[in-house]
Amino acid sequence: MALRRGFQENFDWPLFVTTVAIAVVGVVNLYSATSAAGASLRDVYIQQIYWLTFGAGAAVLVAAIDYRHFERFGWVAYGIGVVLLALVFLLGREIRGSQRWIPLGSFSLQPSELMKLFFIIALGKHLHNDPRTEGRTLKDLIIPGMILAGPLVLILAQPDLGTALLLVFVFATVMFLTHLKLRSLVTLVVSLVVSAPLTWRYLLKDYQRNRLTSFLDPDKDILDTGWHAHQAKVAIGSGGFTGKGFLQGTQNQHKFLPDQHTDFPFPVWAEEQGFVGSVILILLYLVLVLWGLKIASEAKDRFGAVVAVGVSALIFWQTVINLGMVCGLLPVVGITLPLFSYGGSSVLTIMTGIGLLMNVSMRRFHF
Amino acid sequence: MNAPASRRGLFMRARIVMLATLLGCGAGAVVYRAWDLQVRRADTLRGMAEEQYLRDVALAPKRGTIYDRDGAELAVSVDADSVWGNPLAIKKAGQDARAIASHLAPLLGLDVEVLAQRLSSERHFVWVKRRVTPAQGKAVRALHLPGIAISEEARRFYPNRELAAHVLGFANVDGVGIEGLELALEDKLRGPRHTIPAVLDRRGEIVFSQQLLDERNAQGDEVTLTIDKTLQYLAERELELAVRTSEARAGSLVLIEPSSGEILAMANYPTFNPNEPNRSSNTDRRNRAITDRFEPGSTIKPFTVSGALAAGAVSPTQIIDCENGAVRVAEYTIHDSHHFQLLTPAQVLAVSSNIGAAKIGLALGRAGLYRAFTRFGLGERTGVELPGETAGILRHYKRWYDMDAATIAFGQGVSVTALQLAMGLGAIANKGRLMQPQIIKRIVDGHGEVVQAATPHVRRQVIPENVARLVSDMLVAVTEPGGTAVEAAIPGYLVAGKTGTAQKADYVHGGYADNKWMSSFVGYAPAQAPRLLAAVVLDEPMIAHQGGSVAAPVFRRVMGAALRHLGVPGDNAGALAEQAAPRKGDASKSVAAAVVAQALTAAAPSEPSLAAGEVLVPSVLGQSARQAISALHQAELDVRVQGTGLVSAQEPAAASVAQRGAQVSLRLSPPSADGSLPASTAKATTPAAAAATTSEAAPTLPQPARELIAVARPGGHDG
Repeated sequence: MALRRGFQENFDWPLFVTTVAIAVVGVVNLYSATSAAGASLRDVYIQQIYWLTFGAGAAVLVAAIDYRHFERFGWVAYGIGVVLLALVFLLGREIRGSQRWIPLGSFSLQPSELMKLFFIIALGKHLHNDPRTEGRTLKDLIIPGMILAGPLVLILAQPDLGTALLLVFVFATVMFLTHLKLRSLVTLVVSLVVSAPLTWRYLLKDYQRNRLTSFLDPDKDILDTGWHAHQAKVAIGSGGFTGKGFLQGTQNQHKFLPDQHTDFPFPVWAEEQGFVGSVILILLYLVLVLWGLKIASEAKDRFGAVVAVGVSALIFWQTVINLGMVCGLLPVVGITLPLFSYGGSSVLTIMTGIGLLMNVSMRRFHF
Repeated sequence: MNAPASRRGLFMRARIVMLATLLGCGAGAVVYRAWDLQVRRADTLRGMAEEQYLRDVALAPKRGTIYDRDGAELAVSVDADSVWGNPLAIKKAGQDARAIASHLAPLLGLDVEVLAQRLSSERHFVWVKRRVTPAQGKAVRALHLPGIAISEEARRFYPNRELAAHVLGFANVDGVGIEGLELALEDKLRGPRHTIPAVLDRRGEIVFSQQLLDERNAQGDEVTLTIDKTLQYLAERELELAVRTSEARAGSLVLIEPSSGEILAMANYPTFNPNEPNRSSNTDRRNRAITDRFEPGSTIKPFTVSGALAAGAVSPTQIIDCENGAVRVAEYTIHDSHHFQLLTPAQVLAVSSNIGAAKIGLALGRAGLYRAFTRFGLGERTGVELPGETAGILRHYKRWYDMDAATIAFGQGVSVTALQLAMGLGAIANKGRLMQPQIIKRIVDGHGEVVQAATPHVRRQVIPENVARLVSDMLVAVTEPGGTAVEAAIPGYLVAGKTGTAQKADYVHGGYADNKWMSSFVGYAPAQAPRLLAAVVLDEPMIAHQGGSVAAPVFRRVMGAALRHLGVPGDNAGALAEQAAPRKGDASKSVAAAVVAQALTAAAPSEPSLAAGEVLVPSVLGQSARQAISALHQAELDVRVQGTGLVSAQEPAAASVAQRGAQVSLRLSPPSADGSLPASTAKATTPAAAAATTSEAAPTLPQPARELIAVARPGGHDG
C-alpha cells in the first residue's frame, strides 16, 4: 500500500517525460537512419522499440525495489560484472578487432554496459560506508581506484577505449563530489599527464592511435580513418538551420554516413532537423542530466546521491563524448548516444539507470 | 553534529552546482559546435555534401532503332550483360584473383592468365568481358564470385545479319557508329548526350534524378529508311547469286523509285555481318554502290543521246553513218562489236553502237556533252545521306583530249558510281527531272516528333520532258528482240534500259585490260509509267562479260519480283507483243522492232531536228484508248480511233516527227482470252511496220542490226 501510494505521489514526471521524449525521438530517428539501408537493417527501429519496452520493464522493476537493497548486494553485482567481463575473453566473438560481446542465442550481451551500473553501485556502496567529511588524501582513493581498475583493465583489454574512458569520467565526476585535498588533486593530475605519453606508446592499439591522429588532422585522410568524422561533419553541417526534413537527409539516404544507426545517429537527426533539432535534443539530454543531479542533491542518503550522480554522469558523458565525436570536437571512439543509438545492451543499461534515478527520486522523502 | 552536517550539505550543494555548470558547459560546447557547423559553416558543408551526392551524370541514351520503310527493325539496341570486376574488393575480401579467374575464364572464353592478371590490378574497376550472351551472364551470376559483378550495357544488334549491311554500317562496342548510316546519323541515333544533375550514393550509383524519369530524353532518334526489307533481301540474294555464278570479283545493285528518288534497295557483294564487323575485311564492308567508281561504257549512251536530242545536235530520225564497224577519230580507231552502217539514234541505243554514240557526242560537241553529263549528275556526288560517296570522274571539257568527246560519249574516260548511273537514268524515267536520292524516309525523336522527313526533291530538269519520253521509248527497244538486253525483258512489262560492257583500265600496262570487264545494266519498268529503276554492276565477271548476258538477267529477276511485290500493273502491249512474237515467229510483232523500223522509215536523211511547230509522236502501243488519247493530246496531237480494246498500232509511229495538231490514227484490238493480240491485228497495219517486215523495205538497215532485230525471243522465259 505504502509503495503504491508512494508511487502515485512521488512519481518523477519530469524524469519520465524527458526519457520518453528522447526515446521516441530516437526511434523515429532510427527509422530514418535505416530507411535507405538494406533489408538487414529495415526492422532495426522495431527491435529498438522491443528493447525500450524491455528496458522500461527493467526500470519499473528497479524503481519498485527500494534502492537500499541494491546497496546491500553492491559487491555481489560488482563481482558478477567482473566475472562476465572476464568471460568475454572465453566466450566472446571478435567483431571488428575487439571482443565485447557474449553470445546468448540470437542476442549478444555486452558485459561492459552492465558493468557501468554495477560499477556505480559498488562505488556508491564504498562511499556510503565511508561517510567522512574531511578532505581525502590519495590514500583514501586507493579503494575507489581499485573498484575502477578491475573493470577498466578488462575493458581496455577487449579493447574498448570508449567505455573505459567513460568509466574514468564517471569515476572522476563522482569523486569530484567528495572532498579531495588540493595537494592530492595536483599529484593526481601531474601523474596523469606524465602517464599519457606512456599510454600512447604502449597501451593504445594502432587503430586507436589512428583515430586520435586523424582527429587532430581530420582532412589528412578523408577516405580512411577520417571518413567517419568527415562524413558526420558534412551531414550535420549540410542540415543547416532548419534541416532537410524527415527522411530527406541526403547524406544518410545516400549511404554516405557510416554506422548511422549505432554510433552516428545524431548526424542523421542533425541533418534532417537542422540546428533547431540539434539544440532541442541537446537540451533534452541536459534537462535529463541536470534533473539527475537535482535528484542526487535531494537524495536522502549518500548511496542514493552517488548512484544518482553516477547515472547522470554516465548519461552526460556518453552524450557529450558521442556528440563531441560526431561533431568533430573529440576523436572517434565507439560510444553510443543514450536511447538514440540502436543496441540492446546500451538501451537496457540506460533504462535501468533511469530506473535507479526514479528509485532515488521517489524515495527522497522516506526515512 | 548539526554543524558538520550542514557544512557537508553546503559543500555538496556547491559541488553539485559546480558540476551542473560544468555539464552545462559541456552541453554548451556541443551546442556551439552545432551552431558552428549548421549555421556558420552550413553553406560550405552543404556544398561539400552536394559535391558528394550531386554529380553531373553523362546519360547514355538508348540508341535509336533503324527501321525499313514498313517498320521492320534493321538495327536495334538491346541490353546485354557486361561482366566486370573490382580487383581491390577481391583483395580486401582475401580472395584469390587466380581462383576467381580460373572459374570465370573458361565460361567466357577468356585466357585464365590474362584475366587473373587483370583481376590482380590495383583498381576498383576492370572489365572482364563486355556484352556477353544471356547464357553466359546467367552462368556468371550463378557463380556468385566475390568482387565480380554484372551491369547492363546496350548492345547494337542487327537482327537480319547481312541485310542492308552496307547501308546500315555498324556501331562499335561502345555504341558509336563506325560506318554506314550508323556513322552518318551518329548524332541523331545516339540521342542528346546531355549531362543531368543526378543524385549518387556512396557507391556512385544513380539513386534519383528528376530528369532521368523522362525516358524520352534518353532516347536516340528513330530512323525509318526508304529501304524495303523484302526488296533488299531479293536484291542481295540475286546479286550474290550472279556474282558467284559469273565468278565476278564483286557487284552492286541499286533499286530506286525514279519518281521520288527513294532508294528501295542497295546491295553489294561481297558483304559482311554487322554483328561481327571484325570478322570482315574493309573490302567486304565497302558500300561499292557509292564508293566505287567505274567506267560505265555503254550505259552512259542514253545520256549522250538525250543531251544531243535536247540540244538539237541530232534529230530522232537522223541517220548516223556507223562506218561499218570502225572509224578513226584523231589518231585512234573506234570499233563496234558488230558492223553497222546507217543507224538512227534509237538504233544506236538498241544495238549499242560505239561509233554511233561517238558521232552523236561529236555532233553535240565537247562543251555540250560535258554540260549534258554534268546535268545528269555525273562528276558530282548525288548527295545521298551515306558516308563515303565518291563523285566519280568527269574531267572538265577544256582538259579533254581530241578523242575524248568521242570516247566519253560511249562511256570511256569518264567514271561513275552505280547510284549516279541509277539517278541519271532516273531523270529519263522521270520526265527529265533529276531527283535527289533519298535513303532516309523519316527521323522521329524520342518525343515522337518528326525531325526529318523525306520529300521528293528535284535537283534539276535535265532534259525537256518530251525528249525524256522519246529516249525512254528508244530504251524500250534495248530489251526487246533486236536489242542488246533481251535478257532484261520482263513478261508483262515494258522495260526500258541500257547495257554496258566496259573494259577496265589496266593500271599496270596502261590502256585497257583485255580480260577485265565491268558489266552493267540499268533500266526501269514499266517503261510507260516507271515505278522502279535498277542499276546492276558486276565487277570482272569471268564466265561471260557482256552486260546484256551477265547484268541484265539479274535486273530481270530482281525487277520482275519487285514489280510483283509492289503489285505494279503491267504494260499490256509489252506482254502481248512478247507472247505473240515467239508464236508467230514474226519480227514485226515485236514492238521494239516496229519502233526501230518506224523510226527508220520515217526518217528523211536531210531532216533536221524538231523545228517550230513540230512535235514528237509518243508511243501509245498497248495503252487503253483513254490513256492513249490523253497522252497524244498532251503531245498536242489529234487522235482518230478505230476498234476497241488496246492500241495495237499507231500511225505515225512513235518517235517520229509530226506537225503540231496532226492526226494520229490508232487501231484498237481487244485482247484475246490468253492475253495475246489477235493475229490479224497484231500484224503490222501501218506502212512503216509493214515495210519492216521485208528486208527490201528497209534497204538502209545494216545487216547485223537486221539480224538482231530478226532474232526471235527465246521461248522459255522465266519470270
